[in-house]
Formats: sequence, C-alpha cells, structure tokens
Amino acid sequence: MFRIRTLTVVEKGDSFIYRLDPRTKLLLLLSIGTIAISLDKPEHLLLLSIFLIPSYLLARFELNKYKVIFLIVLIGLWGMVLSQAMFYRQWPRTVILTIIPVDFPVLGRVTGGLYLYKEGLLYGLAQGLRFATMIASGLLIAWTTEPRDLLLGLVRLKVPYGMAFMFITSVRFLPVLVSELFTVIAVQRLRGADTVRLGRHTLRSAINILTPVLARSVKRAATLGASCESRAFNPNLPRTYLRELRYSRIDIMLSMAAVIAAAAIVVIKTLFWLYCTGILYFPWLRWMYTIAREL
Amino acid sequence: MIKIENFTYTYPGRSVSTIKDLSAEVPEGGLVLLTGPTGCGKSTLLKAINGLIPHLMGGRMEGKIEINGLDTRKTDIFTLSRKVGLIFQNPDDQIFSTVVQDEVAFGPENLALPRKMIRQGIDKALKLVGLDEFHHRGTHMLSGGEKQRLAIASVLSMSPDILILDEPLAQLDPRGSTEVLKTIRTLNDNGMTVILVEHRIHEVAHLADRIMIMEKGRIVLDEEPRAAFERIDVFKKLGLRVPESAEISHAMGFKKVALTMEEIKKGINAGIRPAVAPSSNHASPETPEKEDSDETALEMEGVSFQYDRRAGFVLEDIYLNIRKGEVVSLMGNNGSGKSTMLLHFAALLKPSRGRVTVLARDTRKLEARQLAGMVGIAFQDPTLMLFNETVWKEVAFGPRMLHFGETKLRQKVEDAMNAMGIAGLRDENPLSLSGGQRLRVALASISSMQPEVILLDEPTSGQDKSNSDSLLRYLYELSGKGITILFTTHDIEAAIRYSDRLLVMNNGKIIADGPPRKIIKEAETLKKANLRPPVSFKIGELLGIEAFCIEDLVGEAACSG
Repeated sequence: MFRIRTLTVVEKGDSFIYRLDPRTKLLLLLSIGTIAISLDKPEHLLLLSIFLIPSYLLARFELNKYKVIFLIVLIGLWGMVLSQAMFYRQWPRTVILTIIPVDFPVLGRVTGGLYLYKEGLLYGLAQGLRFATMIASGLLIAWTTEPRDLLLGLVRLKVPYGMAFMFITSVRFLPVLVSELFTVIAVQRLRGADTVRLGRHTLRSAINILTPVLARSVKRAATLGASCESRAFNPNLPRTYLRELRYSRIDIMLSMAAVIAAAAIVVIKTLFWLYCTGILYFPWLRWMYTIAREL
Repeated sequence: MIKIENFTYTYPGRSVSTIKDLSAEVPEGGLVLLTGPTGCGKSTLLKAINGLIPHLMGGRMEGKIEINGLDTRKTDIFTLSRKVGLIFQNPDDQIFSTVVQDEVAFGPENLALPRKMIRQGIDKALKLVGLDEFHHRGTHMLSGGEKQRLAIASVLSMSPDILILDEPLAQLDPRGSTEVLKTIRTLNDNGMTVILVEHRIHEVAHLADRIMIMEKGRIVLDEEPRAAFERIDVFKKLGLRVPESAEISHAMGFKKVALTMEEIKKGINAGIRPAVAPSSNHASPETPEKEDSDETALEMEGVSFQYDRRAGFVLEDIYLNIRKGEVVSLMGNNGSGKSTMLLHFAALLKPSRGRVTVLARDTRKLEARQLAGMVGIAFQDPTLMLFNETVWKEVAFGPRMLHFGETKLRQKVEDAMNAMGIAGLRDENPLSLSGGQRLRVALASISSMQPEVILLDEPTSGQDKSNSDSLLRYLYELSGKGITILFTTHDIEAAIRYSDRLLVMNNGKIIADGPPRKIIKEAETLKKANLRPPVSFKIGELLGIEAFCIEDLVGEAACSG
C-alpha cells in the first residue's frame, strides 16, 4: 500500500517539466483548468488528459506517486460515472441496463426502479475526466516545483505577496500536518478508539482527531507568525528577492500557446452561448458555431 | 544595551499580569541566562524585548523597555527587527523555506535590501553558525542542531545587535546542543548581546555572564553565575536544575563555586576532599527497591526496519528482551532509531524483518487497537494526545473505551489524576494548560487504563527539574507493581537515577545494553552516541572512587576519607 505522505514531497529532476519557469507552469495549470471546464464532450476531455501523460512520464516520479495519481483518477472516474449513470435525472435518457426493475418486490417500489442511463454515463465520464485532468495537472506542478519557486511565480504573476506567502506556507506545512494526523490516530487507537469505523461515532471520531491537530497548527501558526514579524515581514511594504526568474524561449512559447488556446475556447463557447440564448448572432460566424457545437 | 524599567504586562483577556514591575539591565556584549519555573513569564519578557509585545500581541503594557536607546513601544517591529533577533524553541515551527539560503534571505528580502547585500548577509550568517557549505541544502535534510543554527542564521542575516533565544536546546540531542552552544559562544565572543532562556541550566551556566531567575513575573535573583550558585537554595526551591559542578562545590566545601570540570580538578589537585558525610537527603536512594521478574514483556528477535525501500535501515538486526517490571531508558542521537523502536512495541510499525513480541503477542498479527489498555504510549508533544473538553474526560476516555464499569472508571481516573498531581485541574480544558501540565494529563490518560507497558518518547524534554523528577519517580514506582516502562531520553542523569537498564543506540543498532552504572564506564560507547558521563563520575575517577551522581560522590568519598 502506498504511503499518503508521498503526496506531499516535491521531487527533484532535470527533465523538461522541472526546468520550466514556475510562471509557465502556473499559466499552464490555469489554462488546462479553464479548458477542462469549457469542454463538454468526454472524447475531448480524454484528449486533454492524455496530453498530461508524457509530462508525467518525463517527470520520472517514484513509483508511489504514480500509484497515488492512478488511484485518484480511477476512484474519481468510477464514482462520477457510476453515480451519474444511475441517478441521471434529465431528459432524454436511454436505459442501457436495469439493475432493479420497478416490479421487483419492495425495493422496486421503494426506488421506483434503478437503471443505468447512457446519457448519465457520458455526463459522468465528462465530469470524471474533468476532475481527473485538473487534479493530475495540479499534482504534476506541485510535485515538480519547489514552493519557493511557486511563491516567486505567483508574485511575478501579480498575486499579492501576502496571499502568495500564505498559500505557499500552508502547502509547505502539509507534510507536517499529515504526519501529525497519523500520530493522533495512532495515539487514539492505543487508547481504544476505533478511528476507522464508519457509523454514528464517525463525526465524534473526526472531531477527536482534528482537535489536537488543529490545536498544534494554531500554535505553530502563532510561532511562525511571530517569527516572520520579528524578521520584518510586512506584506504591504515593498521587498526584494534573492532569486530571479528567467523566461526561456520555450517558456514564452508554451505560455502563449496555453493562454491563447484557453482564451480561444472560452471566446468560442461564450459566443455560442450568446447565439443559443438568442442574445447575439453573427451570420459570418456560422463556421465557428459549428465548431463550438462539437466542443 | 537593554534597559527594562518597571515593566508590567497583562495579556489580552486576562486580569492577572504575567510580568509584574520588572526592572533589569543587560549591558552590551553580555550573555544572560534567563531561567525560572514553567509559566514564570520568561518567554513573555523575550517577546517584549523584541517588540512583539505590545505591537503584535496587544494587551496592557506599563513601564518602559529600551533597546540601544529605542523605546520598544514607540518603535515599530520592522525597525526593532534590525536590533533584536528572536529564536524560538522548535526550529520546525519557524523554518518555512525548503532550501537553506532562502530561509536566511527572508529577513533581508523583507528589508528590501539589494540582491548583492542579501547574498553577503547570507554568506556571513551561514559562516557564523558553521553552515557555510549548506546554501543549497534542503531544510528537511538538516539535523535538529543544524535546523536551530539555521534559525539563528535567519536572524543574523539582518545584522541584529542582540540575539534572544527561547529554549533553543529543548528539542535537541547532545550533539545538536553542543553545536548550538558553540555557535552562541562564538556570537557572544564577537560582541553580540545574548539573552538565553533555558531550563538546561547545567549545560549553559558556564557560558553566561549573569543568571537571572524569574518567579511569577518577577526577577528573584540576578547575579553573576558564581554568586548565583552560592544561593543554591533559590534554585532548589523553584525546582530548577543546579549544575552538578556547583552542587559538588558546595558538598565538597569549595571556597568558590566551581562552574566547570577544570575548576573542580584544580580544587581536587589543591587537596580539597569531600568533608560532608551523606546527609539524609543525599543518602536516600531516588528509586525504591523491587523484585526482579523472569517474565518477558517486550521482545525483538532479529528486527530490522526501513521506512522506505530506497532509504537505509532505521533498525538493524535488533535482539532485545525486556522483562516485566523493568524500567529501561533508551539513549542515542536523534535518528538513531529510538522512537522507531517505541512505535514497534506499540504495534504502530511492523518490522521489515524479524519478530516483535509484546506481552507474548506477535505484533505482525496485531492492530494497535488490540493493544489498547495493555500498552500506553506518550509522544514528545503532549498536544497531539489531548482532544477532550476537560481534563477529567481526557483521563476517563481510555477506561470508557475499554468499557470499565462506572465505579471502577471513576476510581481509576481519580487515582491517575491524584498521582500526576492534576486533580485540581479536572474541569480545565487540557489544551489550555502549560506544557508540563499537558504532559501530566497525557500520562494520567494512559495510566488510568492500567496498561502493563508504558512507552514514553522524551518525557523530560522542556520540563523543569522538579516536574521531570516527580514524573520519573512516579513511573519508577509503577514499575514496582509489575508495569514495564521504556522511555527515551537525552538526560544521562535521569537514566542513571530512574532506570534499571540503559540501552544506547547508534545508527539503528543497540551498541550498549546493561545497568546504567556499568554503561557509563564505557567511554567508547558514550563517545559513539555523543553522550557525556555526569560530572560526578569524572570527579569520582579523579578521587579514585566510583560515583555516578552527587549522592554517590559525597557518600563514598566521605566514607573512604
């Protein structure tokens, strides 16, 4: 079984994905997210997610990370597809499999029949692929970029320093948090608590586990805050940076391609929506409406 | 120079002042050891010197604190940060960068210094703390001592005149402590004013120009070290640890208190010998007599363990048998495998190779929960063990989970609370208590389940002497009832006084196993694990007698003399 702590460790490497400027990675992440939200058809979303596979292979992560991402994608897809296929409520819908017929004793009457719908399956597949693409691209960047580079990247992309610092610090302490979570669970198990059983005590168990972890986090945050303040930290004052970021030609090309692709898809979808709702129609854009219908 | 005049401070929402009408002066280039029992206001005073009080923490402040002529109340933290650098107890809570040089650059970056100056500041600071080859090292790869030195470098890069440190040794092993103390010494020799808050007085007293003792928000003693240790009664009354050298000086009738081994040697060479026969205090053993058991409580047979297949073994081919009722101390540097061993005996880790047996059960077939009530474990940070609304509920949690009857449950909870001296705190929220009190609650919550085995990771870390002594004495008493105790510690005196057996670990292996008094004599073993024998032992060697603590020394010498 893989260790959850694996999720929080940044890898070091020298391949293409590691060498990209953090701004490029952040813009890629933003663009992939935007495109994933804009696309509706499973086949297009599948293409988008396949686009990430070479980057993952180039990153040469430790095996546990591949297991983790595979499991997350699989669970996400399975959950979305199954739930949407069974509980799709829109029309038209086509039954492809009957699980519980409506005339089945008791259960049939209670559930009103349980079926798998083709349209629900496709909708769930699209949702699942959307989720998988976003998670996979986010983890790819988190696992290949040092927090300090992400911080600098965010600042250079005009995110206020205070916000960027807060975000990166919380990411930085994630491994500590995970480790403390495991310690608390261990301690409580040795005191007879059943921390994994689901049931009426689940909420109480969760509170019991989270209370010490949060208390420790608050204490740590207070120390960290005091330590930062006493080292002249002030998010509202100008500051300098030791490190410099330099865009390479590949960075420029990739960033432009990603932003242009995302912007183009958003514009096409917006114009198509305006046409469909009867708000705005340009006859000379009929070729584009045809493309938009397919996206 | 630091000048404190009639300083009184009350935290927001509290009616009682934490610091009361305190006045003191610290001259430029001085090194002051500030100590006192837990909760006496030491850390609060540091925060006030640094300007965090009142600027960041609010509250009500009266009186005045001046740093090189700057009134802290009228000067913003930004300006004060260039005058005073503050280091906290746990480096893991203050280091947030993943690369060493980034952490050191943080302060100068905030001061908006040009890149060239930032680089110069980093180089200088890292050199001062002896980390000059570590610029690009990952912070997670540093040892405890290196992390604390990095924390010091991260404030030195802002070129402060004053360095204040809040228990910088509390989390460190002997090697880490030595590294940090050497750094502090170098900085002070270079003219930096240092205020050091520390419970481990015996390790730092010889470095200080002055010792200040606080009690209930006031300074009750402010003397140069030799004069301070003349008043040994003040230290004892407040439960503070007195360096063995000072105690021995008193016991042997030195005219002037000795602060180092060298000074004691001089005295002995000059013909001074213990003149005092053991008093009733000295003669009384710390630990009660008990019967040996032949029954095995904990066992490891050829155990090896690695966290990650790509990493090395944390435990390597360990064979170990601990009998019921034994008190075993476990020493060694951080990373030597001590905590990993505890986790194996709690069935929280399973061996990669070999077999671990706990109370005749093979842990490979056990879930940790199946040992609930039989094995109790307390981690170094008690915060992670407390989650109930009140102390009473916390102590009752385990017995309730184990379905004790209501009468038995109440009895066990009361017994455990009384034994740990926390009965008066029954309605308090455990998380609102001091560190020492929290540890006692955590221990009571284990002992109320009547476990047969108690495992403790660094139970004396960050505790004052009276707290750690009473805690270990209580555990030793429990062992008289057949309960097996295994605890890790960096305190060799605690191991001598309160354990039947000492295990010394190094690089995942047990390099010594036997009665503490036997192992202390093995100089090579101690050296490998960076352990130092107690001062009494060294003096005993000079006097040609066997002594492991001051009572031994005075008693033996008096008898032989």
